[in-house]
Amino acid sequence: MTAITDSLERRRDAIAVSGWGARFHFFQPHNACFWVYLGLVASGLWYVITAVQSTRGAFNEAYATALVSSGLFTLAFLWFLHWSDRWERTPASLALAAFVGGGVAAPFAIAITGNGAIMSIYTKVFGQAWATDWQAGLTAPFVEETSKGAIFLLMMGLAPVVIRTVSDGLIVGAYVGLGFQILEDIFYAQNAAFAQFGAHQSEAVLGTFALRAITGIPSHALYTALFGAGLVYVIGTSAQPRRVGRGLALVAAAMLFHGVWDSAAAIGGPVFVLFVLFLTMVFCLVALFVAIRWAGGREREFMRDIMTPEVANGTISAAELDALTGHRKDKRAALRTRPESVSRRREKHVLRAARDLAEDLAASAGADTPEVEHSRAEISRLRAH
Amino acid sequence: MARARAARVPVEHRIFGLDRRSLPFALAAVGVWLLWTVVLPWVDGRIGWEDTIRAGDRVQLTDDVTFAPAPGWGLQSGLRTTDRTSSGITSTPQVELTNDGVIFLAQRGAWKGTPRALLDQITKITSTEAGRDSFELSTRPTTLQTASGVDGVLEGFRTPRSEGLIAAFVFGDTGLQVQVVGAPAQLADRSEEIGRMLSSIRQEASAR
Repeated sequence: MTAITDSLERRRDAIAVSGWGARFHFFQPHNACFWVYLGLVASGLWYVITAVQSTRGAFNEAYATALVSSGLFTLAFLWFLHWSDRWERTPASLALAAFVGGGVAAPFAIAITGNGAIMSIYTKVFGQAWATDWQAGLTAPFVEETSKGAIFLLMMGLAPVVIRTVSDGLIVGAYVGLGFQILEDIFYAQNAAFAQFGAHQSEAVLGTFALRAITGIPSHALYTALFGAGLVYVIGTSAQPRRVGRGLALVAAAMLFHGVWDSAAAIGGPVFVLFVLFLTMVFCLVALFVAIRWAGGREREFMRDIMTPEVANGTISAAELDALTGHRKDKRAALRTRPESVSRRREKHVLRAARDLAEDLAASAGADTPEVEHSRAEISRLRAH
Repeated sequence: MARARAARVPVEHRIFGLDRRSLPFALAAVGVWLLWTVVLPWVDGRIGWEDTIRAGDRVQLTDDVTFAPAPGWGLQSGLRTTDRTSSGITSTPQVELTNDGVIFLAQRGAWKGTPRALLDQITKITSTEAGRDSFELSTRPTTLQTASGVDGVLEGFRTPRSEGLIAAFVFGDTGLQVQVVGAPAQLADRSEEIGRMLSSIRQEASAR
């Protein structure tokens, strides 16, 4: 009896500390981040409207093509982010706020002016040839990463209960970076059309877009995911003890990859440029894998604390709990040890339904609400089939 | 009622009606904004510009087209024929020079038509960007031949504040537009230099 009471107590603690199930309200007039966010978005929006309006008649075809192609890319990426968001679903309104802040405020209210100033300084101090080689790679990592980082900090200030773990940092950071990437692509579309004197606009835009989509792994979404995760480690939260070394490593990795990617031609020269780009892509994937692995540790502990009482009440088995909180091999073990009457596919559905139950338990702060009972009934229904 | 209480900031965290706990995040974001939009542009403004064209300098307009800017003009962007980069880049998409408020801007791009068709396309884009009401052509398109025998076309334009010219050339599959803009008085003072600069455009025998 004491063991059950203890596990229920741990569940309540895990839900309270993790912020799982917490809701997000955008309108927070008492929150300073709300006003700073609004100011930056308004400033960025003004820039976008002015820029588009001044070239509206000349580049309509380019803008239309960019909107369609970027829209499709966004949908694909949003699906990927939704799929990756396996522990605690990021509230849609928070994801939207991060996307808009990253897309409108970070590039057009902050980064565009900073980029111009630093590039001008480089050219004045080091000369045209040096600036041609290095200005992109030694500007964007500092200006753009910190600009997106500023938006991520505003998100942390607006949603201090929702963004508490490194996993939250990865996902919300990715939304900020995705917004930046998409809006930047739309403006690159204008540049691509302009570079061909406004002729064959669709072909010019699609060519640029295809290149950026194919080489899209080291993208703003990835850099900012790493940067956001790093900031959570550096700042520390009630759910994530501060780990400055890890945090700085992730922040530095994001900036380093961005810089090397943008300077690939200067580093590799005409011969090795593709090799440098390939290596950067590999290192980006490795860094992302490591960050996901690090982020998963804390989330697994929360999941275990939330779902352990469900083993005691017979909703799920111990092997299924291990699968929920473990790695791929634990999932395989749960599939192997399933009851004979349950198919492999059905067992996978049970594990998915168990995650739904965890979400409902978090949303109810551990109480047996109708939603929680429904989720338990779903698991029973899946087993009975 | 309960909702109003939940929205109220606890007294120990309240400052001017705001939640004190949100301030570090907000101030950090404002700090980043200040750094990149105020401090760095200020530093940039304090650093003097000194990249003056000397006699004998030639600047790359494309990988195999060069021209000789007049001595004394400031190179804002572009590579000289003597510049060497680690990346192997020999020319920049845009070349910009300034002198006494006059801007000489050259831009290259893919183009398969004639110089006249390119000029028409550039005029269309430029007039749309500038606004049809404020942009008008001041001279009809005329043929221009450089010292090396390259044919181009040239036309003049004016806006309420400035005057200028647009020239178009085609080298193989590459188009080249040159726009020169400035106040009428300054433009008139530099007209001879501008003419010599346009005339010096030539295609080199082979790319570097």
